[in-house]
Amino acid sequence: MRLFIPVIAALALLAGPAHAEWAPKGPIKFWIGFGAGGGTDTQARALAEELEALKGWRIIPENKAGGGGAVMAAQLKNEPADGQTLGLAINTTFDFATIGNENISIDDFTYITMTAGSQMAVLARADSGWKSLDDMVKAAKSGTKIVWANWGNQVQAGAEMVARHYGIEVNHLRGKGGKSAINALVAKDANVGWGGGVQGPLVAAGELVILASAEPKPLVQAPDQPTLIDLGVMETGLGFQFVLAGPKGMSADARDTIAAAIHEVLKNPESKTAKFVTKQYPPGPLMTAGDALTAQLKKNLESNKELVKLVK
Amino acid sequence: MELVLEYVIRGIADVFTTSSGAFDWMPLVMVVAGLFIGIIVGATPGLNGPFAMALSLPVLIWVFGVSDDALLPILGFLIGLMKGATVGGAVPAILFNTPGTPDAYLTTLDGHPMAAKGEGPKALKVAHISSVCGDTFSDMALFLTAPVLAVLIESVLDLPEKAALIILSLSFMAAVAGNSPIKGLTVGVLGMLLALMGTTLSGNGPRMTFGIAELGNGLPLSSAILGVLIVGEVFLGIEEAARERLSKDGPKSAPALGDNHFRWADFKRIFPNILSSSVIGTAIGALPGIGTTLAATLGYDFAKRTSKTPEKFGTGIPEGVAATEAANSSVSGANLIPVMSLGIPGNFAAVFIILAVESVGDFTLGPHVFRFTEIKEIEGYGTIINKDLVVAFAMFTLMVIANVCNWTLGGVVMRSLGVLARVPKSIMLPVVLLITLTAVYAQDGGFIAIWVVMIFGLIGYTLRRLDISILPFVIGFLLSPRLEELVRGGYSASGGDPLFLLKSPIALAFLVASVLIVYFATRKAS
Amino acid sequence: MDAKRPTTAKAPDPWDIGFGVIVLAVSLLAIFVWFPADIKGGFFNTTPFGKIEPGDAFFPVLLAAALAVLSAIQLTISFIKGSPAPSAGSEGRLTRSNFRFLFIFFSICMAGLGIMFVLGPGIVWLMRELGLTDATYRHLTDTAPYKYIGYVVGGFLMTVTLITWTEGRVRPAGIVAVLSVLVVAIVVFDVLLTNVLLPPNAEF
Repeated sequence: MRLFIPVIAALALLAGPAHAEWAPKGPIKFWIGFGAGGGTDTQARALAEELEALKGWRIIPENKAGGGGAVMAAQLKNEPADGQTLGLAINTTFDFATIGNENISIDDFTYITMTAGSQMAVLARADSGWKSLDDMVKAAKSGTKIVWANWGNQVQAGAEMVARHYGIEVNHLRGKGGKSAINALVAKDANVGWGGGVQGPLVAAGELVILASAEPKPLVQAPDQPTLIDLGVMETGLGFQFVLAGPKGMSADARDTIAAAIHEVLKNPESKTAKFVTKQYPPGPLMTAGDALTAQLKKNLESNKELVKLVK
Repeated sequence: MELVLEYVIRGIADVFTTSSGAFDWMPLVMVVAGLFIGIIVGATPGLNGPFAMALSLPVLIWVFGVSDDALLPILGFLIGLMKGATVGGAVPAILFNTPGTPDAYLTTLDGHPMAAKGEGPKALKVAHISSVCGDTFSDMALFLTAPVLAVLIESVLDLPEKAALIILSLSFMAAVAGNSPIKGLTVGVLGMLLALMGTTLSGNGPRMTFGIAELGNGLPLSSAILGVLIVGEVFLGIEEAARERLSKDGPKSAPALGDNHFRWADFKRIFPNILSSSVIGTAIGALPGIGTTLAATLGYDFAKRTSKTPEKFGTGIPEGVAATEAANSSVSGANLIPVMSLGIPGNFAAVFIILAVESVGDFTLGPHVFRFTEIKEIEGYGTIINKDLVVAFAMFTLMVIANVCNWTLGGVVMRSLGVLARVPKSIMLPVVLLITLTAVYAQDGGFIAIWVVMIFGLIGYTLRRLDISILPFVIGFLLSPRLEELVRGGYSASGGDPLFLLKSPIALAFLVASVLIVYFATRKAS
Repeated sequence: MDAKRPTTAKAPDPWDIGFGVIVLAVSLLAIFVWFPADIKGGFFNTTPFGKIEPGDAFFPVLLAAALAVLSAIQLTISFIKGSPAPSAGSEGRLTRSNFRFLFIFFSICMAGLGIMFVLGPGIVWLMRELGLTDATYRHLTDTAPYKYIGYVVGGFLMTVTLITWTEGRVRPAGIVAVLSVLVVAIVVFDVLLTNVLLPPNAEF
C-alpha cells in the first residue's frame, strides 16, 4: 500500500544515496530579515539558488523586513526546529536587538553560520579635500554644516559618539539600507556617511575617501586609516556580520550539514554568492559556524550590554 | 541643458535596455498589452481602470519580480491600462447607453442619440479622437509642469511645509467627495493611524501590533489598499448582483447605419471643444482628489454655454461627445503631476502607480526625483547618476509610446469591441475575489494578508455604504509614514518647539487653507 | 433624490451620531488603553546623548487626539445643525439587508478559507493515523497532490457557492469559469513561479 503513495517515493529520492547525511524532509523556507533588493536579499537569493542546485533541497526565499532583522527573528523562533525554516539576518539582530527585547532572546535560536562581514567606514567625498577625521572636525569647527548619512539607530549613535568625542554638531540623515547613505553622499545631500562595504569601488575610483575604520581592524579598502577604537572614540566597532540561524533546538546534525553546504558554496570562487560577497564585503566570505559562532555572539552580547549601560 | 538632454536620452534608452545593457522589448510589449487590455476593460460595463490596475499589480509582481528591471514593464502595463480604460469607457456609453463609469454618463447624452441615429461608428471615432487629444495634451502638461514644480518645491519647502502640504491635500480630498467633509477627514486620520502599526524608527520593537509577530513590519501595504479599494467594491458588486439576480436585457439591435465618415471638417468643428475641455480636464486633474466626473461635467457645461446652438446639446451632436471625452481623458496625465512632483496621489489610478513604485525596485516618487545630478562612470560600481530621474523620463517615454499606439491602433480596437458580450458580474466578481486572495497570499506571505484584505474590504464596504469618501482613508494610509518622519524631523529640527508647524508662514498658510476648505465644504453640505 | 428623504435632514441621524460616538470612543481608548499597552517607546524619547526627540508614541497620540477632536466637532455639528443628507443613490447607513448580506457573504468566505486551511493537513493527519504515511503536512507542502488539495477544494467551494448564491441557480458556466481560474492560478503560481507557495502552504 505504502509503495503506491507518490510522496514516499519522492521522499526516498530526496534522501538520495545511502549514507546517512541529514536532509530536510520537505521544502526549506529561507527567510530574509531585510527588504527586497538590498545586500542581504541579493546574497540570500543567490545562496538559496546555489544551495538548491548543490544539494537538491527545495529552498523558497521570502523577505520579512523590519527592525533590523528582529521582525523576522520574532517569527523564526516559533517555527519547528527541523531545519525547514531558516533565517538570514545580521549579528546585531541577535546580539544587540535582543537587549531589553521581550520578544526575542539570544537563546531562542540555533546559530548555523556566518557568511560575510562588513567593512564599516566613515566616508566623505573626495572633493571635500578632507584626508582624515581631523580635517572634517576642523571644517565643522570653522562653520561647515555636517550632515551625516546613516541607515539605523546603531550607526546613528556611532555618528553621535564621534560628534561628542570631538565636540562638534552633527545633523543626521536617515535612509533605507546601506546603499542609501552612499547615494546621499554622492548626491551631495550629506557630506559624511557610513559605508558598510558597498563603498569599495567608489573609494578605488577616487570618488570617496575613507576617513576612519569602524571595524576593530583597519579596512582592507584603506589600510592606512586609523580605527575609531584607536582614536578613542568608541570601545567596540560598529561592523556587522551576516548570520544564518534557525529556531532553537535544531539537531547538531542538521545545523552542521546546512553550514557545510553553505561553506561549499562560499568556498567555490566561481559561485555567484562568493563573487557577490567578495565584491561587496571584502576580503571575502566568513565561515565561523556552530558552537564557535554561538560563543562569539554571546560574547558580543555581554559587551553590548556593557555599552548600553555605559551610554545610559 | 546638456545634462537635461543626457538624462532624457538615458530615460528613453532605459525603456529599451535591461540593467545589463541588453536590448529589452518587454516594457514596449507591456505598454501595448496594457493599452489593449485597458480598452477592453473600459469597454466592459462594470469594470474600470483602477480595478484592472489593482488586479494586475500582484500578477505583474509575480511575473516580473521586484528587481529594478521589473519596474518599467510593470509601470508600462499600468500606464497602458490607465490610458486604455479611459478611451474604452466611451464604447458602452455610446452603443448601449450604459456608462461603465460615472464620468462616461455624460458621454451617453450625445453619444447614444448619435448611435440611435445610426451614427454609432462616427460617435466612436469622435470619442476616440477627442480622448487621445485630451490625453496627449494632459501628458504634455505633465512633462512640462512636474519637473518645474518639483524643483520649485524642493527649493521652497522644508519639513514643516511638506507636512502641512500633506495635511492640505487630505483636507481637500475630504472636502470634495462624500457628504461630510469632517467624516472624510476623520477616516483619513484613521487610515494614517492604521498605517503606523508595526514599524518604529527608534528600535524599541514593533508598536500597536497586539503582539502579532506577523504585523512586526506593519500591515501589508498592498493587501490593505487592495482591500479597501477593490475588495470593498467587490463586496458591493456581489450584493448588488445577488439583489438584482441579473437583469436580462441584452443590447438592442443596432439601427441602420448612416453616414459615418469622419472628415477634416468634422475635426475642425469639434476642435475648439477638445481644446477647452483638455484645458479644463488638465487643471482639474492636477488637483488631488477631484475625479474625472467633475472634469467631464465642467467640460460639457463649458461647451454648451459657449456654443451658438446650446439647445442642440443632448440631441446627438459630435461636440457633446468631444467635450466630455476630451475632458475626462485629460485628467489621467495631469493626475500624475502631484504624484511625481510631491509624491501625493490624487486619485485611484495614481494610488496604484505609487503602489507599484513602492513595491518594485528602489525608485521612489517625490520632488527629489527631478534633481539633475552630474553623471559619472565608476569602474566596478556603475554610474553615479540620479536613477530616479532616468526612470521618470523612462516613464514619460512609456506614456508617449502608449499615446502613439492609442492614436494609431486604439481606434481600431475600440470600434471592434461593439460586439463585446456582457460578462456576467455574478461570475466575474467571486472569481476576482479568489484571484485577489491568492495574489495577496503569495505576495505578502501568508494568511495574515488574506485576513487584512477581508477586513479592509469590510472597511471599504462600510465606508461606501455610510457615504464617506474612501480616498482620504487610502491616501492617509499611504502617506502616514512619510508624514510621521516629517513631523518628527520638523519637531526635532525646530529644537523642540511644539508650535513648529505654525512658525513657517507657508506651512501656516497651508494649514489655514485646509481649515477653511473643510469649513466651507461642511457649510455647503449642511 | 428620493422624495421621502429631505435634502437637509434636521434630525440628527443615528448612524451619523453613532459614527461620531464610536470614533470618539475608539480614539480615547487608543490614547489611554491601547497605546500605553502596545507602544514601548514613549511620547518623547531621550537619546543616549541627552537630546529629547519625539518618540514612537508621539505621532500615534497626535493622530488619535486629532480623531477625538474631529469626531467631537462632527457630533456638535450634527446636534446643532442636523445630520447632512446622504448623496444621491446612497442610504448613508447599513440597512438590515446589508447586514444579512454581510453575514451570509462572510460565512461563505470563512467556510471556504477554513476548508482551504485545514483540508490538506487533515488528510495527511488521517493518513498518518491509518498508517499510510509517516510524513507530516510540513514535509509535503511542496508535494503534489497535497499542496493543491486545500487550495483547489476550498477555493472552488467558496467561489462556486458565491456564484450560485448571487445567481440563485447552479450554472455550468460558473463552474467552468472557476475551474479554469484555479488551473491557471496553479500553472502561473506553482509551475511557472517557483519562489511562491499557494495558500495555505506557507503556513506550515
